[in-house]
Amino acid sequence: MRDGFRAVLRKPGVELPSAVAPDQDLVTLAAAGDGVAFGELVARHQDRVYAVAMHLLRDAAEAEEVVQETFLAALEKLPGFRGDAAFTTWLHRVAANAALMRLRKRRRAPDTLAEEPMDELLPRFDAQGHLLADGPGHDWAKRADEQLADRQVRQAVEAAVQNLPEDYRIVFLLRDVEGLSSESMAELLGVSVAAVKSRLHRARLALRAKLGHYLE
Amino acid sequence: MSAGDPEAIPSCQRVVECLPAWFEGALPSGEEGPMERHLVLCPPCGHLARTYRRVGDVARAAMEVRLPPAAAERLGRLLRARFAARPS
Ligand SMILES: [Zn+2]
Repeated sequence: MRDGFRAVLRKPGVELPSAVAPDQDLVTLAAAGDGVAFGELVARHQDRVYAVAMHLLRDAAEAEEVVQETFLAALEKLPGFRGDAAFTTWLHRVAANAALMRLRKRRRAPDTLAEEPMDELLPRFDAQGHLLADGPGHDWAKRADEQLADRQVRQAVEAAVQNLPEDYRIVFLLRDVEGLSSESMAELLGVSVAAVKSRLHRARLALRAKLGHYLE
Repeated sequence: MSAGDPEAIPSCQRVVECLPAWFEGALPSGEEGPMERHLVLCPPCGHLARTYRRVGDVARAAMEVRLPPAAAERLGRLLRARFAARPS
């Protein structure tokens, strides 16, 4: 069963009006002690919160702990949320922050995935500043005529993202995959918005070079 | 072409630099026309821009994950207990 908490709390025969209820209505009800409303909020957001943690940590058990910590913290903070954006943004930031703290703790340990140098994946220009067209050497270009199974495509894309150097990987995941704002990320990472944007741009350029025909 | 001429076609390097701002619609309005002309006239930059724009969508679609059902059950039990124990 996907939504354990919602199912546990919902009384038989009681239909939630919440398929269309905004988060803020559910937050208000939950803050007043309505467990069904809180269960619906959890069911609505648990996959996204898990994705933030899982993409950053690449470890299902650790990601599950982050999900639990995030929703326990949300439970404490319920009365303070005003507006739908506030709740979603807050959840994703708490999850990202918890995952980043775990990543920092790990940082000394050797990574199982080798990072690849970025520079050779960035665009090249000739002496006149003209962009050189993509060569035939890009990873999967030679397989352009093959129909890859969906699962292989997913693995290839995931591997390309996860092999980025960590600073670039984190920014790309949080911005382009999870949708955090550049400003939120700058605050979480303790760097400038300009640095976030520059890393994001380079990460996209490197992935574009790696992903070749998947992007056509 | 001089940098100060708003009608000048920007260099490839400048075009690549400006892609994020262009996709966000954050490029100064005077620079949009020259940028778009460059993308039409320069096949390598046109190709780069088209593929650059797809990176986020392709990654998002490929990396979709959902909380496994057993983990969702554990989360439900934990939160239900904590919710019931809240001071009201
Ligand atoms: Zn060009």
